[in-house]
Amino acid sequence: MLSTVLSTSIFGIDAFIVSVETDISPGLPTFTIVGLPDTAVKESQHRVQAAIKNSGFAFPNRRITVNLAPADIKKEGAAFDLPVALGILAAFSGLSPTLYRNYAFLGELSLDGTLRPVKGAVSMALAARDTHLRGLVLPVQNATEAAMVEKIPVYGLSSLAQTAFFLKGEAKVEPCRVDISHLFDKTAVPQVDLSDVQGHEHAKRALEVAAAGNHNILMVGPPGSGKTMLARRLPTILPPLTLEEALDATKIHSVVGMLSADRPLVAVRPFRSPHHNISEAGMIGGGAIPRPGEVSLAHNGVLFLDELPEFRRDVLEGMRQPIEDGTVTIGRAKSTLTFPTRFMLVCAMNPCPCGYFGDPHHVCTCTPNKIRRYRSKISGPLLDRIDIHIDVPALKYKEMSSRAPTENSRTVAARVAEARALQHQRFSTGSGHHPIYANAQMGPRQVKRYCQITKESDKFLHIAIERLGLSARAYHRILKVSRTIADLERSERIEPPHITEAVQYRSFDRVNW
Amino acid sequence: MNRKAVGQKGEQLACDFLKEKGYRILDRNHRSRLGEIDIVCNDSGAIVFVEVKTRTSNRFGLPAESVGPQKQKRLRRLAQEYLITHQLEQCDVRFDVLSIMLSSEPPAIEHIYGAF
Repeated sequence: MLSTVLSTSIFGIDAFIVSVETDISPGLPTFTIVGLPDTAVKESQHRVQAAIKNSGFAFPNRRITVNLAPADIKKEGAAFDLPVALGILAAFSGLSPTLYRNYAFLGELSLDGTLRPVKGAVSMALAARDTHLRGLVLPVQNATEAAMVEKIPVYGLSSLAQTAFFLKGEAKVEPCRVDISHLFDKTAVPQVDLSDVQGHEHAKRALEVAAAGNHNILMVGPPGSGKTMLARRLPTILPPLTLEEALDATKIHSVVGMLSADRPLVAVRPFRSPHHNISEAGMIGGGAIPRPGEVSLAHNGVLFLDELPEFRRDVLEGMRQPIEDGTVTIGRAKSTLTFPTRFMLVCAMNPCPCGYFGDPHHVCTCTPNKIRRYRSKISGPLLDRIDIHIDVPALKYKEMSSRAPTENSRTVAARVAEARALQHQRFSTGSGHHPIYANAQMGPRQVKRYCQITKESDKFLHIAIERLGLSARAYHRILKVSRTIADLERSERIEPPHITEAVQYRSFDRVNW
Repeated sequence: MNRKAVGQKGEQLACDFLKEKGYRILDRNHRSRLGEIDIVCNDSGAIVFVEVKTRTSNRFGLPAESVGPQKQKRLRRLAQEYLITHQLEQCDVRFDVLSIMLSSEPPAIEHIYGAF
């Protein structure tokens, strides 16, 4: 007696259809699962056996062979419990294949037969839709998440018994429906606001410029000055996520199992803040079958690296390519996968190991050599990818105790959105196969073409570069950033004030420290 | 009572117990070079291999506990051989354990259905 039940499995961030073939034949009672199962899949036999018995069905005392096809891709996770259990029930009881054909099933079983949530339901629903299946049956906790994928009915069920009755037509279950735009509006409310931060007008302005041009930013300041607080508020002034961007981010978060039933959609820009002891695999993504890392979890959002020099060197260097390309390709012996990594990088660090270099209230106890070593942990090529460097000094008492109303995120976000719209218009014509969406992505050729400066500005820039000892690298960055500043003021030309401001955002390049 | 006598008494009790339940005894103490099966019987079509464990006290653990993985593996091989030599490969198969405690009166019999 043979049955074939469909399911799906995750590979990278995409899913593929797996057919679970079950054969029951007479002989010594055995239960074998073949088709490259990993440990969690192999163990499924014990859960399935207990779940079937405890759901009030008979478990066949026969030779059971389960094959997961295609046989050459490693199958991970516990999501095969439900299809395997159904396959056994179908093969044993002779359930008509028309009842379960063209449905995909997912779900981890607990020993009593209830279904437990699985990872990657969004990708799995996409795979089921693309193969034109009749429906997707999964644990009720994953239903809202999967139902965001349109054009495939999603049935959220709570137990093996319920699934069996549903297939036999004895229990009626309506497909789960979600109103995405409603969900999107409901969850897209940020918890923090830029007006929470008192003072730091200079830093806030720099954040605005960074957000407007999608420039990466580095904040240098003593401990407790508010770098982290500022960084956390950056997502609130970035342009709101489009639905498409939200679904992209949701897919990645779904694969690593970071969604819940009450928060099924990533509707605000992700803000990822990994601790500095993170490994390269954790940051970039990795594993025998690569899983997305922090750079991908921050896709369409912000990646915040606090205490930048404390991060391991290989981790930081590994980030160069994802920052540049917006994707990361991870090659392993078994598979090569590409994940999206279009994020904005925000870094924070102390000016020196003790933290108080240049602070008016504390004495720095570091030797110049120590400071140099500390700063040299951040390599030139990485620094090269950070357009804006600012100092975030400790606040004076008057500033921190001030109750004066400051600009809120919404006002700033409106200006940012306007500047982005200008850039979108600028780059929509004639961008090559690396699409540019913001000023930060400009290469040397675009800088030459779009960052034309007036004679006056040129003269000023010349003086600034000579006096401050800025490099050629800094020159390009200044041009790009001044382009963004000009965009914020809806100015076609780059005027001297734009240049002046941009020059200020190069504190790390100055030779005097 | 020596060890052999304890075992034989247990097996006799087990046979009576199974017969009463309506099982047809096919073989007792079936021996081959792989070892020995205590009882082979037929439970309305299904072939049941029964391992009988008899104890006179709980001092060394429960009788059924002594059927470990090693013994289970041996019994499976024995069963396989039995099925082939008797051309019973198309039947349903089950392994039961009967644990018999002689210390109480009447002896306590526990039937573990489909033990492994």
